[in-house]
Formats: sequence, structure tokens, C-alpha cells
Amino acid sequence: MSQRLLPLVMIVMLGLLVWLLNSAASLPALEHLNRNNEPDLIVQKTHSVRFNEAGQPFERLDADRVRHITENDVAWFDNPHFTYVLPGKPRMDLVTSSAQSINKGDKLWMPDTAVLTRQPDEQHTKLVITGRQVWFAPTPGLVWSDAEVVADMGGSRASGVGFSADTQKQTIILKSKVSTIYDPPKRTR
Amino acid sequence: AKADREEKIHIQADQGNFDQKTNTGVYIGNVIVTQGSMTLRSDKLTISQDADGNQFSQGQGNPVKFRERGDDGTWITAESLRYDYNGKTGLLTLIDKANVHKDQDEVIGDIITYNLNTDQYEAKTTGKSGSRVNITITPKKKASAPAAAARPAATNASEAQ
Repeated sequence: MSQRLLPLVMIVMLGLLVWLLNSAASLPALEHLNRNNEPDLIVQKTHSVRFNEAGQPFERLDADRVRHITENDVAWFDNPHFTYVLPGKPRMDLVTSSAQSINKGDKLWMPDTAVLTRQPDEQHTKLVITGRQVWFAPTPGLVWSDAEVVADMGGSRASGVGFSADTQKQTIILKSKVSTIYDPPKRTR
Repeated sequence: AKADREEKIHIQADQGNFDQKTNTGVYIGNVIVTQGSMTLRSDKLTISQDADGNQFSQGQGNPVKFRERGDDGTWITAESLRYDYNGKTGLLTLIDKANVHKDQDEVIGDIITYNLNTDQYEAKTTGKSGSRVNITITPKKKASAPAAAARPAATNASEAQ
């Protein structure tokens, strides 16, 4: 009787051994499946440059940290500094404490205070726009928000609540509570 | 006053559209402009500037109200439905139901052109039948003659003592 049971016992022992080995080898992390709204990529201290069709760098980004999230193809930037140099246009710098890029950077969302600086050109002095909860579409150069905004240019200042600006057409609409202080240059004639 | 023209311009409104290429700003809704002693209120205002720094503006309102202290210290008030200001020539043109008050003087007409540099004005009608220009000039009161004569006599009496 005992000889007939031996193979059975051996098989059970072998199965037990395989189960033990398998549970010992499985890494806990592997059980935690990555959720869609969690970063699938984290980069520290990033410096990236984008080139146009002519091979010219037109968009530069420096950030302390970048986290990419699969859902909606979103990336969060910590302390980003965007620089845009479009041909024939004054350079623009956009600095904020956190920004979310959507759809591979087609649109940027900045919940905190953001400062957009456009360098002077032949006709205009430097323009500095300070706002919050700002949206920015870099390629068409559109910037908009429903929160307070202040724009300073030379000795003049414009402020309001809610704005939309077209940095290429160089137009800005202040949607409400508009106040402008305008320093007229001394008349030459 | 002429000095006002060099002061900063402060404009408040419900909404503002600005075009840097043409150096133009359009203000809409409860527009209040202040520059030195000058205050202007209108429903809509368009302001622009030429390469020499001269300012130009047009506005409309129900009515547009304008108030400024003249160089001689007297207040000038004016109203009209539309206006046009040319900073280069210093001409403020009030159009449609225009009236200007300075001290006791009053000018009423369809179109009043006021020269902010020379303090001169011209009032005219649009030529429609029945429309008239109406100007009221109040002569300044001269210091009354007896009071003037009495003063030297008092001086003689004090010398005689």
C-alpha cells in the first residue's frame, strides 16, 4: 500500500515546492498595476528644445521635474520656464510654478501665477503680462484667462478681470473691470 | 489746462480691446477718463496715438460729459452725444446736442469746436432748418465805482492825523 502511495506523495511535495518558489519569486510591485492617472514617466531637471521644419530651435523648456500621465496624454511640469523664439517675432518667456501640458504641448494650463514676458521690438517696449489660471496655446500664440490680469508696457499699465491675448496679432481684450494708466510720451511736435 | 496734456491718462471701463500694432485702444461701458484736472465720461471711447506721441480720441455717450479746469482756474464743463479730440491741434469737437459752460457763459449748438490751447471756441449748426446757435455771455461785474472812490479818501484821513 505504502509503495503505491509514494508517487502520489512525491507529486504533492513537488507541487508544494513549485507553489512556494513561485510566491517567493513574485515581486510585490508587480501586483500593483499602474493606474492611468499616475505618472508612467518621471524626469528630474529637464531641458528640452523643439525644432521647426527648418531645423531652427523655436521652443525651449527647462523644468525641475516632469511627470507624464497616460490619461489624456498629459504632462505636469514643476517650476517650468518656457522660451519661444518665432522667426521675426520678439522672444517670449513664460515662467510659473506649475504647468500642465495637454495633447503634446498644444495647450498649456497654469493654475498658479504665471508671468509672460515679450521682449521689446522696433516699435514697442517690453510687455509683461502677469496672471493666474492662464491657458496658453503656443503655436497660434493665444493666451487667455478668466482671472485677474495686469499688463505692463513702458510707463503704461492695464489691468482687468479676464483677458484674451493674441501675441502674434498683438491684440489683447480685457473682459471686465478695466483700468489703464497710460503715460503719454512727451510730444515731439 | 495745457499742463494736463502732459499728465498720465487713467481710463476705467467695463471692457477694453487693445491693438498694439495700430496703437489703438477701444473702451466700452461706463468709460471714465481722467488726465490732470480733466475728466471725461462716455459709453464708448477709442483712443490712439501717432508716431510723434500725439493722442487722438473719439467717443459717444448719452451724453458724453467733459469737465476741465482752465488755465485761469475756472471750470469748463461740456456735453454732447459724440466728440472728437485731436491732440495735435488741441481741438475738441463736440457733435450733436452740444453745450459748453464756463463760469456764467454758455454756448449751445449742433457742433462746438473748442481749442484747448487758445481757449477759443466756434459754435455752428448742421444747417438743418430751425437749428440755431445760442451763446450767452455774462459781463464780468466791475468793482462798483463808489467803493473805488471811497478808498483813497480813507487813506487821506489817516495821513492827516
